[in-house]
Formats: sequence, structure tokens, C-alpha cells
Amino acid sequence: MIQAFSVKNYRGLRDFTIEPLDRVNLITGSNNVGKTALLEALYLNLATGTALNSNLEQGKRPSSTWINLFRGFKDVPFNLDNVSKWGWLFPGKDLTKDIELISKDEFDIHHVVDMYWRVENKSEGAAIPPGISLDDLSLFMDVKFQNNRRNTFIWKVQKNGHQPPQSPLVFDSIPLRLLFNSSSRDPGEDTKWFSTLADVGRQDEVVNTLKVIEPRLKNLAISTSDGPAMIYCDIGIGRRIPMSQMGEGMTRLLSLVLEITNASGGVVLIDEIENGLHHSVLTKVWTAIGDAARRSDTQIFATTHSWECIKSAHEAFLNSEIYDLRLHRIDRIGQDITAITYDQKTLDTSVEMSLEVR
Amino acid sequence: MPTPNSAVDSQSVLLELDQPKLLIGEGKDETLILAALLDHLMIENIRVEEYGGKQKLPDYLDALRLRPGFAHLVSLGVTRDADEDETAAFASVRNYLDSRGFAAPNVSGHIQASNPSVGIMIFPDGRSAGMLEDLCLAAWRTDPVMTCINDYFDCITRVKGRMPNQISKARVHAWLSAQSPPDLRLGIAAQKRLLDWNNPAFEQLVNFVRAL
Repeated sequence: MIQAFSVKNYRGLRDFTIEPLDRVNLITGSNNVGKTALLEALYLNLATGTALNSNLEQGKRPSSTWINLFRGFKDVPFNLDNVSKWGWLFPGKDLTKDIELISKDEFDIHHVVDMYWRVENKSEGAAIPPGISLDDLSLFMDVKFQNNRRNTFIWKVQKNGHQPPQSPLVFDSIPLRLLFNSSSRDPGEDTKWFSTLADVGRQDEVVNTLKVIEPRLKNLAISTSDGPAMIYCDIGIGRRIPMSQMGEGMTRLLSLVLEITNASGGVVLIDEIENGLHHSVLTKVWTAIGDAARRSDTQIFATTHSWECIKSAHEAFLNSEIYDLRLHRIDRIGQDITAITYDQKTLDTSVEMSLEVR
Repeated sequence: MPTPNSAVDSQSVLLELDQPKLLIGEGKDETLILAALLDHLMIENIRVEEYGGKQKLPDYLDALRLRPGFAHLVSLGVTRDADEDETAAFASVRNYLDSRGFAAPNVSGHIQASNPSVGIMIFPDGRSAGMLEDLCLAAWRTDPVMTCINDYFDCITRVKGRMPNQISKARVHAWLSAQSPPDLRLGIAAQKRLLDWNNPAFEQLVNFVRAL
């Protein structure tokens, strides 16, 4: 699990550290303060140089090329023609600022990603010479594991596309999954991942979780009788109902539990986790999320604007076998963006006294 | 919609640090009284909150440091009853503040300049055992009603063979019962302007709030 994460010069996060991190990390804060930027930075840190393990990816492109998904861009080719989009990753679009993203795990292994524009990579060239044309620059992404075995490789991004690293081609990666709002999600993803679980006899985990929202649920099955493969629900009424007809809460919770389960040993990044979930089921949903995360050894980073969501998470984790929740508020103080972290005690006081935390 | 100086129903709305200054009291009555004083002084930039009693002050302070807007807080005033020992009460508050990185003053009623500045006010006057109710009783000392109240408790003591428990609270209730309407709590009475803030007994508290 990631214990701490530091960011330099990524969008508005100029010198930012968030720690300690826990199994489930709920990220809140006002609009436009940097919550999604933090998820992006985590994604770039974890995905750059890894195997292509996101379900969202197709083809042979590096995971980093999907960074703009967080902002609603489905596909932004990885070349300098799109500097108008890639440039936004740098603070104030200042390409002379190097981005540095460092995650540290429980074994004190640092995973470092450096992103910078240069004529040559850092080991061969100095800073950007004054007056140079953008056409002469490349975007480099250096990836390092800082442990006993100092592995390093470099991606070089040029006008005509990216140049993959020489060696090693990819690191051993941790599973990394993304979950955005329900409307942008392909139901086929859930069908595929549910099928993977069902193949190893773990469908009951999903069924039991979904009973939080639909207590009548008896079983789930995949069928192609109406066309493409879909998940159907048996709620004891004599006929099965397509999952897509069961309401947004069911499909959202299904996606959540499938992503968590299938990212076993890795990380799930979730934007606005409360979307589609009625406040009355939030505590039970959080209990289910916590159980699934512990069972799968998955770490979760989820953004929220909702007090009900925060309160419900706290109540659910208070009654869990272990309180492995942290609330982090991304806060703008003067010119700086900083993370304020609540532990069990401070969040307990805040909930009990109805103190604003967002 | 809570006004800056009104005590807020903690169950119905999330409390925000919406003023540059914060004055905290142990419970509902204290915050209502402090809010009434601020209204009287026409001070609008101090927020009043309760911290739930002396046992909960450390937890409140821990959470306070994390709240949105804390970085913009200019000053913090902490009030507490002296109870049996005004020195111990002051030391307890000071220790809680000090151990959490707040600059704490050395004397009750004083403000320690810092970021935020911090003041401590121990009721009734920082020099005596007692509570906020004793401060009110001091203000009512010359009220003719107090003669009746003294006679009443002399009688109670004779009949029952002992003084009532928490005699200051009992005397305050007796005084309140002589007002109109007769069933107000102290905090509500303050909100209804039944306290004379110009009485010299309140001078130290008034100065403390003004200096915050």
C-alpha cells in the first residue's frame, strides 16, 4: 500500500504531500482546488511505465496517454501536436517546470516519475535553452524505483509519437483501476470483470454486496439471450432482469465492488464516489467497500463533495474490524495547495459536533 | 440561517469558521450568554461555539486545527468555569492549548498575541472558584430580589438541614424565576437582554471579548 505521496509542479500542486495514507482514502475539498489533479498525479505515478493494466486501454500505448480521461477526453494521442492539452499538466502551462511525482510504500520503496521538456533527457542535457522552439523539445518521462535495485527507464515523447523505453520495457506493475461517473462507463466492463470472478467461483461476493441495495437479489448470471453478454439479476419474481434496468445505485455499486476486487493488491481511483448512491444506503455501501478492499488487499482513493458520504464512511468504518479510513481535505492556503488529514479521532469529533470538514 | 453571534444548533447545520475570531464556551448556556454579550457590544466578527464541556476541549482543539478556514483565524478565546480550583482550571486549558501548538497566555483574561492570538477566561473572574453563574450573581448582588432569594435559601437550609447542591446554579434559577416569563434558562434570559452588561461585575469579561 502507498503510505505517502508527494507532488511537485503538477497543475496547481506545486509542492504537495499527502500522508499518512490508509486502505481507504476519501478526498474532499472545494471546487477546483485539486482533487482530480491529485487522482491524475497518482495515476501518472502508478501507471507510467507499467503494463497496460487498465480496462480503459486498448492497443499498445503507454498508460500515461490516458491521463486526459480524468477531464473527459476519451482519447488524446501522445504527441506534441496536443501540447495544448499536455501543457496543462504543468503549472500555469510553464514547460520549464519539471513535474516530480513520488509514492512511497510500506517497504519504503520510492516510485518516482519525473516529467520534463528538454532537448535531451536530464542525464544528457541541461535546462531548456532560452528562445528555443517547442518543436525542438521532447516530453520525457523518467521512471525510477528507488530501492536496492535502482531501476530506471525513460520515455521520450516526440512530435510523431512516443518512443518507448529501451530497458526494461515495463516494470512489474500493481493493478490500477479507474472509476468515473456511471454515464461514461461501458456496461461491458462490468460484465467482463464479473465473468472473471464467476469463473473462479467468487460471484457470491458480488451478490452479497449488492443485497445492500436490493435485498431480494438471489443470484447474478451472464446471458447473451438479448444480444451482447449482459449481467442479469434474479430477484425471485420468476424472470431475470438486466442489471442495467436495476437502477443507478445497483450499477454503481456493482462497478465499485468489481473494480475493487479486480484490482487486488493494487489501487482504485474513484471520482465522486457518491454518484448514483442514495444517502440512506451509504453506510452499508461503505461497509461493503471496506470489506471488499480488505479482502482484495486493494487501496482506494476516492473524491467526494458529500457530507453524507463522509459521515457514512466514518460510521461504517467505526463498526468495521479495523478503522482503515482517512479523510484528506485538499485546501488552498494562500498560494499553496495542501492536504489536511483527519484520523479516526478528529473525524469522530467533527462528525459528533457537526463541524464542516470539506 | 445562523447569525455570527448566535449559538448554532449543532444538529441541523455544519459549523463553519465564517468569522476571523472564535470564542468558545463549555455548553449551550455559555455560548448563548457570550453571543448576547457580543450583540450588546455590536461585535460581529467573532463566532461563538460550544466545545461540549471541559472533557471534550482537547478533542475540539484537535479538530479545530483541521477545519476549513482555520488558517485565517485571527484569534481564539477559550472560556471555562473554575469549578473548585481556578488555578487548576486555568492550567488545564493552558496545557491543552500549549500541547497543541497554540500560544497560550499566562493569566486569565489576557490575550497572547500570536497566529492565532489566544485568550483564556476562567469564570467567574479568574481569581475565585466558581462558575459563570457566580459572575451573574455578582452582577445581581444589589438587586432587591436577591434579599428574597437569600431568605429563601436560608429557609431551605433550615428545613432540609443542608444547603442545596450547586448553590450558585440554584440561586440563578431562583433569580430567573422572579423574571418574566419565569421559566427561562440563563442563556435564553441573556438572549432576551435580562443581563445588564454595564454592571461592573461583567467588566473583565467585556474587556476580554473586546481585546480578542
